[in-house]
Amino acid sequence: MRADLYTAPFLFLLGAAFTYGGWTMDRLEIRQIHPASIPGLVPMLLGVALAVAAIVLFVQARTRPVAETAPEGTKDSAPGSLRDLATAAVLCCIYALGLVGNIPFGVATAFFIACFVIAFEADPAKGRAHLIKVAVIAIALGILVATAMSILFRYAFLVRLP
Amino acid sequence: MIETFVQLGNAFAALTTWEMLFHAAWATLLGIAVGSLPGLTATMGVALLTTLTYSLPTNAAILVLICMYVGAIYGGSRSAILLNIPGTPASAATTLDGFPLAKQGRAAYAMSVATTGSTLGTLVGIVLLIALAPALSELALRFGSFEYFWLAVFGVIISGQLTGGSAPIKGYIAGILGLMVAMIGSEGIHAHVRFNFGFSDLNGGIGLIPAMVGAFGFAEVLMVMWQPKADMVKSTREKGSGLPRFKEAWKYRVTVLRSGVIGTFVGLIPGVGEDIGAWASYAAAKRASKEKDTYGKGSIEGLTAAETGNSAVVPGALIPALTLAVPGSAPAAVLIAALFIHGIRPGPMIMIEQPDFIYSVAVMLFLATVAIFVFGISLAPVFEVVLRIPRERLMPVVFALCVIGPFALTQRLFDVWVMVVFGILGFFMRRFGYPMAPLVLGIILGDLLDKNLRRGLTLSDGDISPFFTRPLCMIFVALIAFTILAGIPFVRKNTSGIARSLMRAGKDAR
Amino acid sequence: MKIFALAAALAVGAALPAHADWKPNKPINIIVPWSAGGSTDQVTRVVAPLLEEALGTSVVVVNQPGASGSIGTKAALDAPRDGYTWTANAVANNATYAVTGLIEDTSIADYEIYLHVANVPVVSVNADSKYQDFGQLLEAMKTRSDDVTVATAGVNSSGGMALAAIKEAAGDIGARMISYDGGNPAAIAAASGEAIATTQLAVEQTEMIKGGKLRPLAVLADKPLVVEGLDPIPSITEWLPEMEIAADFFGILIPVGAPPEVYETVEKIWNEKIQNSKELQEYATSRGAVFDPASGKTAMDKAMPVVIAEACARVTRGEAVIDPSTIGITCP
Repeated sequence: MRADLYTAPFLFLLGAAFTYGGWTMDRLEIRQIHPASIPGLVPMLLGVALAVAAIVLFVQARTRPVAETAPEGTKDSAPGSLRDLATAAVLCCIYALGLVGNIPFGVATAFFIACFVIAFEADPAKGRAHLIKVAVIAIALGILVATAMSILFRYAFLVRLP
Repeated sequence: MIETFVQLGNAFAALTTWEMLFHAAWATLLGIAVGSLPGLTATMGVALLTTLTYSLPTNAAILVLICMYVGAIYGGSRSAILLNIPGTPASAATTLDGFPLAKQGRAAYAMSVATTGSTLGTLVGIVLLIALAPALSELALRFGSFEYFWLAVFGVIISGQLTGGSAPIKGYIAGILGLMVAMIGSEGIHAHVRFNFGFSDLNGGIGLIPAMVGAFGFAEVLMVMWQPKADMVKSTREKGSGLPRFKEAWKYRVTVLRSGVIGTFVGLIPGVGEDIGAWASYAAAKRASKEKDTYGKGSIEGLTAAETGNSAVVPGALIPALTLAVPGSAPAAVLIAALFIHGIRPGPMIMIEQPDFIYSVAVMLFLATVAIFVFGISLAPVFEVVLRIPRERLMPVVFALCVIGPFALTQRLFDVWVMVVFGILGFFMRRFGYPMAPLVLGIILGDLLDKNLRRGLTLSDGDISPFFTRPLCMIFVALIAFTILAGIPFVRKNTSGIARSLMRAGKDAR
Repeated sequence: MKIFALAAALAVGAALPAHADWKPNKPINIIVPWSAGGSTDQVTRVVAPLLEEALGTSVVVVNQPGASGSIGTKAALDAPRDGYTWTANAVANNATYAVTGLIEDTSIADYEIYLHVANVPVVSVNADSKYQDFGQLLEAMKTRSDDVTVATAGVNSSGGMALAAIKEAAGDIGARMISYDGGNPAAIAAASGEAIATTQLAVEQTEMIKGGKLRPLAVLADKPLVVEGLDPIPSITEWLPEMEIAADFFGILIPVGAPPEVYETVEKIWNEKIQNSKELQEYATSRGAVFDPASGKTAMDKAMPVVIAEACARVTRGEAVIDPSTIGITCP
């Protein structure tokens, strides 16, 4: 994969940074701990391991043909509609980071699900009847799922919903 | 021997009243629900029911808890197969072959293979529990800091190797990144806070469950929405596809048996749970398989190995829990506490003070197994409905579950943010060909690796030789070296011929 | 069943002067900052159902282990102060987290405390080890003839503090502390022979002792410890007569700042129910703990000696990051 040529140096730097972080970490001498048990030990080792792995990745990416370095199960991720992806990501983030915690969970969930369905199913070209149908389905689904989830988590799993 | 059967018979008679069967049924069903919801874990389910069953009589309460445990571990396979999101960490290996099968339109078939595998795995574990409980419990004590360290290394390596496909290096990198994530927050030996970057929310570290739900769940939601609609999973109604898969089970009987034994032994090791059980038996099955190429593309054998392996951990984890009061897994730890509440004192004395209790537990496990089998087969069509929901309607519901699941565990909004960050991170990592499973396993094992390396070094006063000279350590070192070498194409080419001829020689000798 | 318990609790509540009674309307979480199966966890799970019955709501025990109990404790302190998030611990731990630097800016004044049992540490060795009594072990540690490793649940745990106390009383001794995730894992490490000894609490060791995997050498109390089904364990004062021992009290801690009726109601439950609880008494005698409930000012008075002892021991050893007097602990 061509991208490996760019990710490998990044991973190498991350490894180096981790090693540096481990090296400069407090050795806790004041608490008289055993010197082999300093908190920075494992981060240092992991940093080195990642740096080495990054070098191997870089070398492989240069020497091996493209197809061979792509693991199974990832080849099918052929790009689809970038707009769909962006819409989904933005809607999810608004819901998880913005709505949940600020307004009651049930309301946030119903709103999110309805918006999501409308954003992906509504097609203005198909006329008003279609739009109304989609909106009704979306709102009904949102309210139904939000209610069911709120009841399940509140009463069966004893969770204090946000 | 006869005495064993008499005691088993007594326990069976005592536990098969209508009331007990009713308890087994609802608890298992609830367990399957908990397991299949991403974010809710078996540990949480058992802990929750512990508080709700205070008032039940002892046997009924323990039965409910065991059914919850077995049901939740099994339930995780549903979402793993249908949505490519493991319901609990135990089912991460199940996604490898389960989801490809579902994509081929064989979801019902995959679910019934998983059901049969889980059932047989628990049964193998139960047999070992009855036959060998006291003897095996001693083995749990043989695992010290030095061995745990290697176990953690081994777990990350096999998972990286298995999921990285032809580029294991990417699997290893994902594993190392997972281990690094585990370094964030307060460490377990001196309580020193590492890498919190000034955020006090990071002092407690990155939670495993929010990270897993993000990396698998949110990333999967994004992946699905990105793909053109036509690529959706289709469900074709094969005739009788939801029926029990005894024929397959018989065909892969060696795999079933091997996975069951491996799962039970992994269960024995304190603090190591179903996730490792599934990975270890999946790795062993792939190594021994005649059809290696199908692994990761919908191998029946691989799916069977993963599901048999994680389910067999449950009886295995109960062995040291009962005979040493040492939990073999996190849910078993909660179960021990529940036993104390109900006046049963697990520990070395249980074989002397309450010898019949072990047999009761075996029967309870058996009832739970029967329940997952019955529910698994009968509910498969219900679960399959999930596949027929259009992605625009299913994905927002899945995402809402991904938000509330991790929140339910700790009730911290911070965990929701962690889920989102790992979802986006996971999406890009997948894009660049990095598998998710080693990342998650790395987060699980990072703490184990870190603490046991430094604890071992403190024990040996800074000397690293015990890591290489203790007998179990030597076995691990050899396994790890072998695994890494086998991933290098040059070595593989030259050794596979030798290995094959050795295998043939071995077969001839038999 | 639940509804019945609720009704019963309400009926009891109605029969008493109930003007300030707190009626929780959602589950209460008790955060145990140690792993499941450890001493704190066990006793909390015995107490939780009693509280549940008395309060008429679910009382959920949540394990949040890690970093000598400071992670879970911090979570309890950070939770909304509405009376629905409690914690359970050895009280001396909560009082000294600031002294050891594990949690900044906290002291015993952050909690109302409700004690139930006092626990005693026991020095035990692996059953196969050559040490038959505490004198032999002490001798080996003094002369450093053997590399003695001691398993505890960390520097701030009861076992860690017990080892520190022994070191202080015995002078310069060689004993290397190995930290585990909780009292139970530490006891297992000694039982499996990975560490030579452990100084964790009696309750965490009794099953291993009864099963013949650990040999108890001495109890850190001024009189021998009697546990059902075992020979009495001799007091450590037989070998270290000058050693001062403060009983290590365990209890439920409710962070301050919630409505006052929360504390009044729990105190009433403590006086009426916990004081006379058969379940707790049974737990104590069979596991090697001392049943000694207290709440309010009495509880504070009982707990203070061990708090002072632990905090000041850290100052003596140069491990304190702040002066205990700044959080109201005066060293002698």
